[in-house]
Amino acid sequence: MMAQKFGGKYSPDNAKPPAGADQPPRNAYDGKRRSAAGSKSNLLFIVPAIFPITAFFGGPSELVTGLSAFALLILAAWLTREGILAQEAYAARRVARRPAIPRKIFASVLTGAGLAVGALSGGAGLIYPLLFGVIGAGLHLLSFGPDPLRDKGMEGIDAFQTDRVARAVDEGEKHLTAIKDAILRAGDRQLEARVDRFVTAARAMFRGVESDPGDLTAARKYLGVYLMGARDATVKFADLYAQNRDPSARAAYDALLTDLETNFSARTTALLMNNRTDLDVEIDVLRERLQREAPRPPAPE
Amino acid sequence: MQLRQTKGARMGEKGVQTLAFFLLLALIVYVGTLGGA
Repeated sequence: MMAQKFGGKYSPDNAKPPAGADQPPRNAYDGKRRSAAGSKSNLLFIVPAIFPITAFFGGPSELVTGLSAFALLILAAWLTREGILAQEAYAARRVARRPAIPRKIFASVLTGAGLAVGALSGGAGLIYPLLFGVIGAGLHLLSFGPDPLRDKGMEGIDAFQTDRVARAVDEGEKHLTAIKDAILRAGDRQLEARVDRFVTAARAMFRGVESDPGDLTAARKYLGVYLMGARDATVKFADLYAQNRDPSARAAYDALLTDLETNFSARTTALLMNNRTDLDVEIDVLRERLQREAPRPPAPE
Repeated sequence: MQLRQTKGARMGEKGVQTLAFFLLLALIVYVGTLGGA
């Protein structure tokens, strides 16, 4: 990882706002959070290393049980980390389906199984390994929690529409990842930051579409064709720019990014306005009906 | 109805999680050394 040059509002490189931006650009870290898949899940990978070390100092059966326990515990650690990441993805979305595989719960069970197998070689009979397994599974569940087991925000949304949205968003995310990946090849920090900003704008649109699947038809082109085009342009640009550092190509690409970003932001705003109109209609209709049905005070004689 | 968690409750939950985690690590180490003995 290379060091990143310090820059700020008053540093020469960043002093002028990007052309065509009427509002201050979003910070690249806007809405991002530190991942919880950090030291805790990493420790789960390291600590089981004690099993293969001790396994080689015993008899053959100790070796087999020790190595099996190690394998089970590492698998459990991996599932734990995947589960944490899946839960974060779940938390980041407003509308989300529960994970297809409850990874963290599987990890709890596997941890228990690993401990039980590992304790088998201790010559402690069968009761203690089972107890160790149960305790280990319980502790794992207690420290990492269960997976989200229910769909979130699916009330009043038909599953078919949401599925379409989820697929479209997944496709969009894939394009974004490809764009971010490709721009790394250009080796230009500023452009990377620029692309990050565009990605943030695109994600804002994703969240907007997720919150109202009816908007998908309007946003479809943006999630598909435009992002694909942006990806192809980025790939071509990165290859070219890595070779010849052509400032005019850079300027053209920068302009493209600015266009894309403004367009995406404008479209997101339009989608939100659309929601507002829907809400207003709904409220108006309901209020009218209420007024019609309200008991009238008896007319004065 | 779901009530908002107080700060103390959140901290307590975090503490229990951390405690459970370190107990789990200790258990793994204990069981791991059991086999070689």
